[in-house]
Amino acid sequence: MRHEYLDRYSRLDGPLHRVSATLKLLVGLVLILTISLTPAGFLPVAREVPISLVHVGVAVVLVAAIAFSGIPWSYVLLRLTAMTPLVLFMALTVPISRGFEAGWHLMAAILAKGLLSFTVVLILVNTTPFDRLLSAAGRLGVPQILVATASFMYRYQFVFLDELSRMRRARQARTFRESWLGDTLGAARLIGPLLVRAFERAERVHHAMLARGFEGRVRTLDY
Amino acid sequence: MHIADGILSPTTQIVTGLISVAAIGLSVVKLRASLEEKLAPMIGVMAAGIFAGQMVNFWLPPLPASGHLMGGVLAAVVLGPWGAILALANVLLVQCFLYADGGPASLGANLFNMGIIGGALGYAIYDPLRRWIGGAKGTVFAAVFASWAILPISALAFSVELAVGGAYPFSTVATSMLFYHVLIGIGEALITGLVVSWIVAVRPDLIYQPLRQPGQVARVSQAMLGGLAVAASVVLFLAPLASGESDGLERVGEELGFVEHATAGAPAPFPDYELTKREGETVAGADVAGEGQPMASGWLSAANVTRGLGLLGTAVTFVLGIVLAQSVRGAPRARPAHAA
Repeated sequence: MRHEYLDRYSRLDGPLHRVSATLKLLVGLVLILTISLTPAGFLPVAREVPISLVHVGVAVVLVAAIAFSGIPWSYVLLRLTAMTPLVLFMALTVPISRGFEAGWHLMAAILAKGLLSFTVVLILVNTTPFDRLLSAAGRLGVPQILVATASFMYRYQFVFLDELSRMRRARQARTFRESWLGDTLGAARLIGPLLVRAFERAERVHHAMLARGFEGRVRTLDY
Repeated sequence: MHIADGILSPTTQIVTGLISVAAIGLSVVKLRASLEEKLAPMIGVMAAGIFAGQMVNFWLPPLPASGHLMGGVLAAVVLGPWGAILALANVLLVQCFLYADGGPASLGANLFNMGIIGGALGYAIYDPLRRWIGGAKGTVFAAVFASWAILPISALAFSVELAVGGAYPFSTVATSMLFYHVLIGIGEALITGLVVSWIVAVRPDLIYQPLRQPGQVARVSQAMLGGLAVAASVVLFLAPLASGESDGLERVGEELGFVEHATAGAPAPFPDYELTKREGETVAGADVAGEGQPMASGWLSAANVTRGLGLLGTAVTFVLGIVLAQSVRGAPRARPAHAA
């Protein structure tokens, strides 16, 4: 079964895909910090536009990066439109609770920050496979156990999502009536077995790794 | 409850980020000390399982909305506090980078609200309670209580984080967040309880048992007092921090009637404590800069009222927990009937 992730284009062979993962991760983190730490402001040329110059600059860099990377524009725009309602919902509560005049430039800043840092993540994940991103994080000093657990998680979530959909289908095939209580009990009866299956699989994986000489360090073919 | 970027102030992001990094570092050290990092596959695969478990939606009865398991306490029941922090950090990391759930710069705050409060504080509530009640029943009850208690606490943490930035008034956010999360907490507790009772019945060896030195006797009363002290200090120090600049607290006070009562009973000590004046200010909407002053310098200031209410709430929750636990504890302690 195919699962939809944000990193659909991570294995393209574009110019940005060939840049070292460590460098991309660092630049991405710096960009995210810059976006986040810039306070709400107005354009110096047109003071009624409530966007700070830094955010405009970052946006230009990101647009250039997307154009350069070969990620389809349609994909980026689709993802951004899917993301916008989530950010907008949070942003709208500011003018509602603060009054429009006091709150609307804050609202614009929340929208800009949310969407810009989402775009950074989108570009980062779509130009670098997730495992390389993780090993780059390891090289930057992130503890080994965190990198290892994250890569196991990335590997096995597909497996468990498949497992979940099989269990769900089996339940639907045997359930004739829907009710709230039955639904809730049903959710628990899905999650419990799922966790036990996860644990049993984890044990098997662990034993298989020990049998192959695992002594606590995950070694990867690092390129 | 995943926070997107731009909503929190930079200071909040940095502070919660530092706390989260420290918590991850501590868990890595603790796990390394006990397991030599060999548990990495276990934690990673379990994290994937918890992640998949979060995909199971269930309906929240009074609302036209569905919720899903946050899984902090569930993770701690199976993996222990340190493993739970790491597993939830992974879940949040993957959610942030691969599902756009929560902003990358707010990852620290999200981990604090869901991983540290859900996993570590949840475990701190669950473990003493479990050992105090004892048995399989104790495990299930403690998991139910901890997973219910954790949701309002993390909702409160969320409200404090939002309010510190100044864009959102604390009491408005806190009121609605608390209201919904007490309800969501019931769902979380129900599901966690059912899952844990299922695990206890099928694979009781999966329930995490901390390794203890022989001489190290678990002092439940001490642990519970410690937990109470932590909760009380959080209320004492964090609540006024947020309420100091918020404008809605007085409104809550007005609704509850205790402020009017106070001014009627003792008119002289704080003459500037005028509530009618303030309604005009908030309508004007120009309350960004001017609202920051504390209202009254008397003992009944907004901050102190918040403190008092928070402490009262903490104490009530605590006593309620003990009473409930005692009632559960009473039943299985009956002696086996020899005489009959």
